[in-house]
Amino acid sequence: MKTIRNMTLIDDDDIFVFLTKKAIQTTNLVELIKVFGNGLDAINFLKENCNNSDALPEIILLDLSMPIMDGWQFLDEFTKLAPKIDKKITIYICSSSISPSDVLLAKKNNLVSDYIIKPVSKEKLIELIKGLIDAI
Amino acid sequence: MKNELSDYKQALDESAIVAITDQKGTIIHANDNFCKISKYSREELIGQDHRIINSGFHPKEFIREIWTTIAKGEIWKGELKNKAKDGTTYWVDTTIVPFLNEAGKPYQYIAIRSDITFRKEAEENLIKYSNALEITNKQLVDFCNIVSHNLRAPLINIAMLVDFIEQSEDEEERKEVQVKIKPVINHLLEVFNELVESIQIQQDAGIKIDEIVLEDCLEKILIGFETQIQEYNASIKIDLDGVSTILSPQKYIESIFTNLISNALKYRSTQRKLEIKIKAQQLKDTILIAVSDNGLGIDLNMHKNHIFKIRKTFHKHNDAKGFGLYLIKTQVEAMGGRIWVESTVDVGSTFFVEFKTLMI
Repeated sequence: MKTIRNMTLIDDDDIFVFLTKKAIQTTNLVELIKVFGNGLDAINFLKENCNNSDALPEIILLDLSMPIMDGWQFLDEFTKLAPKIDKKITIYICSSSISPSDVLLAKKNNLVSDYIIKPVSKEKLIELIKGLIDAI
Repeated sequence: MKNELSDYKQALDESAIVAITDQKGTIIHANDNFCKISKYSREELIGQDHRIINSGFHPKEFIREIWTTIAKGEIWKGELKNKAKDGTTYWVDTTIVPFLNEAGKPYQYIAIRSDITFRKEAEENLIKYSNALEITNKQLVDFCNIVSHNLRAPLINIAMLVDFIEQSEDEEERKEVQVKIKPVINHLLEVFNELVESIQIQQDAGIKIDEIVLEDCLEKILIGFETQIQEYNASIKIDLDGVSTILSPQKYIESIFTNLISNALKYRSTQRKLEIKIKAQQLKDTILIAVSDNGLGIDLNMHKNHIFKIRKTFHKHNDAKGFGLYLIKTQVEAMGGRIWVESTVDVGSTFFVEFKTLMI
C-alpha cells in the first residue's frame, strides 16, 4: 500500500493532536507524524531542514490560533521560505474558528489547499491523505 | 442710494454679529449682536484689542494665517471659537473683509459672524458618540471571535473525545481518553467565566468611580508581590511627578496595575536584574501612566495586532493565559481611556495607560 512518509501537525490543541494521531495511526497511511505546538517551532524546523527533503512533510495540518506564532504568521514566514524548498508541501488549515473572515483569508492564500473546520472526522482525514497519495 | 445703504446696514445688524477694527485690530465698532454674544457692553469693547475675545482654542499658526490673509487685503472665511466676558466660549462662522485705501492697503477690517455654537456642539457630540460606537463595535467583533473560536474549540474537543469513546472497543483505550474530558470542561468553564467578566465590564456604565490615591494604591499592590520582588531581587522605581489622585473604579485601577506588574515579574529576563519603573504624568486633559520593565520584551512586528486580544500569548510560560491584557484593555476603554505598548525584544516593554481626568 502506498503511504505518506511524513505528516506534520502544527497545533497547540493537545486533544486534537492526540485524537488525530490516534486516528491516523490506525489507518497505516502515514509513516511519521511530527507535532509542533506553535508556528515558530515549526518554521524553525522547516528552515533547518529545507534542503533535507526526507525530513520535510508532504502534508501539514495547520491550526490558526496558537501562542508565540499563530497560523497566519506561520503562513507569512512559510511564503518567504517556500522558494527554497524543493518539495511539494500541501497545507490544510485546521481550525475550530467558524469566523467567516478566517475562512475568506484562507481561501485567498495560494499556499493553503483548503480550510477545514474542526472537528475533523477520521473519514475526512483518510480522504485528505488518500487524495494526496493519488496525486503523488 | 444713501437710504439703501443704511437699510443694508440695518438688515446686516439684524442678522449678523458685526465688528469693525482698525488696521491694528483695535475695535472701533460693535453692533448689538456682538455685545450680546460676547457679554461685553459696547463701552467695554470699543478701544479694546480684538484679542479680548480670543479663546486660546486655536493654534497660534492658525491665528497668524488669518492675519496674513487679511493684511494682504484678502477676505478670510472660517470657523472660530471665541470667549465671552464670563469665560464661556461660543463658535462663530466668520467672514473678515478688509476695507482698502487708495493705495490698496487695508485701513479697517469688518468681521461678520453668525453664531454656530449649537451646530458645533452637536458635531462634537456626534464625534464623541461615533468614537464610543467604534469601540463598542470592535468589542463586538472581539466577542464574536471569542465565541466562534475560544468557546467553540473546547466544545469540539469534548465532542471529539465522546465520539472516540463511543467508537472505541478497547476498554483500556476508552479509559485513557475518558480522563481527558474533565480538563477540557474546566478549560471551557474558565473561558466562559472570562467572557462573562469582560461583558460585565462593558456594561459597567454605572460603576462607582472612586478618587484613587495613586501612592497608596501602588503600595497596596506592591505588597501583594513582595515575595516575588524579593525573590527576583527586583528594583521598583516610582515617579508620580506630583500626580496624586486618579479617577477610576477601585477594582479597575487595581486590576490594571496588578496585571502590568505581574507581567513585568513573569516575563523578566534571566540575563539582567529586573527593574520596574512606574511613572505618572499630568497631561492636558489626561493622566498618563507608564509601567516599564527591562524584561523579555514582545516582538511587535509579529504581535502588534494581538497584544490585547484574548487568549493570545507571546512567550513560553506555563502561567500565560492571554487574559490579563485583554481584561485591562476592556477596563481602560470602559473608562474612556487608552492603553498601548512600546517594546523591544530582549530590552523591555513599556505599557502606557491614559486616564481621562474628567468623567463624562
